[in-house]
Amino acid sequence: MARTYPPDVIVVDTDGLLHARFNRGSKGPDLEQAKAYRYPSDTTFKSGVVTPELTDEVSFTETLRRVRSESGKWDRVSLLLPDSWFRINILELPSLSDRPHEAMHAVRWSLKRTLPIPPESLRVAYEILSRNGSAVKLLVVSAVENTLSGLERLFTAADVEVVLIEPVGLNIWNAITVREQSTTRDRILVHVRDHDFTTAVFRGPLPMFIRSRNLSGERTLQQEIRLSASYLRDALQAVSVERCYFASNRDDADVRDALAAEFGAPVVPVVLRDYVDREPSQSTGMEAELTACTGVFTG
Amino acid sequence: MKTLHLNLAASPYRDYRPLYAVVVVVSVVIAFLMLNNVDTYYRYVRETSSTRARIAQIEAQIAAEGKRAEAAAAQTRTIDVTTLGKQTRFINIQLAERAFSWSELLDRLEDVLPRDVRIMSIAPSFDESGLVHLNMMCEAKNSNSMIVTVDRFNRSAYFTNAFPANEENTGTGFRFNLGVDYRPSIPRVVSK
Repeated sequence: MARTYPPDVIVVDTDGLLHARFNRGSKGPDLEQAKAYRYPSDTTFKSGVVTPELTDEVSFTETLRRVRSESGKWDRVSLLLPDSWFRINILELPSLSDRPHEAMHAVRWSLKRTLPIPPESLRVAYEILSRNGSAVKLLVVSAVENTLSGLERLFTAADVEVVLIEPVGLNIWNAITVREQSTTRDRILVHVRDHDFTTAVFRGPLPMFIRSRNLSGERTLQQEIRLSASYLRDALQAVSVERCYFASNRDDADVRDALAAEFGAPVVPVVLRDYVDREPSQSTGMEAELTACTGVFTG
Repeated sequence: MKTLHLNLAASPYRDYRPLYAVVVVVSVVIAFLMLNNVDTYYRYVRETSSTRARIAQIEAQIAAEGKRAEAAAAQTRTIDVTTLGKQTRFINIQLAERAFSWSELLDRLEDVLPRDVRIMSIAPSFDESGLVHLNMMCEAKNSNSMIVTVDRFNRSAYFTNAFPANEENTGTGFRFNLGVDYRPSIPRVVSK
């Protein structure tokens, strides 16, 4: 991370946002302040395909004004959005043009096969994970353009420039992986939120599987984890898990036990104090998101 | 381990501070060099004023000399070079004659002439190569003396091309003309 990288990070969610500010610590980031803000309206965002729609701009602007008035002067911010606001795909293409425009067209065309909305309505970013001859394996992240541009417009109106928009889950993984020794074995990240959860499998440094699912009342979280584990064993064939990371704002022993039982590997809870030099006392209940915020600075 | 960053922001963060630092440093260097140039210019103007005046004076002198040279050349073109050359050659001959060492010539003749031959007259003429052509009237006691004289002149290192013109029996002896080239020890080349 550049020494000049903007220290403010905002985690946007459907019911409120979390503002965090970091300093450069001696070993890692130093969490200077963190505070959650609820939107005045319950209809600030409305659920949509892939990414929720920003329906109440006044509510969001008012929340942003409160954040600005309580946190002092800042003019750049990194935005983290829930994993469920994105489509995160691992694509394999027979070839990919060296020209960015043509390559992006090919990626969008691949997304079209599995999306009920036109890929032109998405903002897409991708990274090449590996090459095998002309064939490439890509990690593709996409979100609805209208929502992202709406958020950027409201931040710009508040004299704040949005310099980064990424998923929370990927940045929890970034925070974890920069502190880990190299390995070729499989590692699993499970990020659980109130209404959705993300499961990701990494073989060495490469993602093999990333999926975010909503939690319904039909199955408990433990049942969802067992289903996911069963699916992973079938889909990835040999899964030799070295370690499971469990990120949640609630320490759920039953879930940890389920993970350990399903994957036969030690479960490491993601605890904020392992990732920051210093944390304010009021960070309880926001640990997973704040850990993700530290991942922003690993770029 | 490698991190995964797929940034969807329309304007991702770019750290322009190194660029700004380079721009500032280059600007400072440019300003410094510009001020240095201005200072150098003023010092040049100030410190070379006397030199530049001297250069201008010399250039004026060169121009004047050039004009004088042209006038002299024009004047030279009006001179009759042929006549002047003849006069010069005549003067050079006169100077060579005046510088001619008669005593040396007489010493050489004394060595060369047989005992029964005497010189009645001698007329030198000066060649451009430095040789002196001698036209001599000699008188001998017997008829064989002319041959002996020619032979002795030809064997001498100081004379060459001895050639008799005529021989006359005077009743008391034999008179003959002899032309010979004399090579003085210090030849006076007559320049044209």
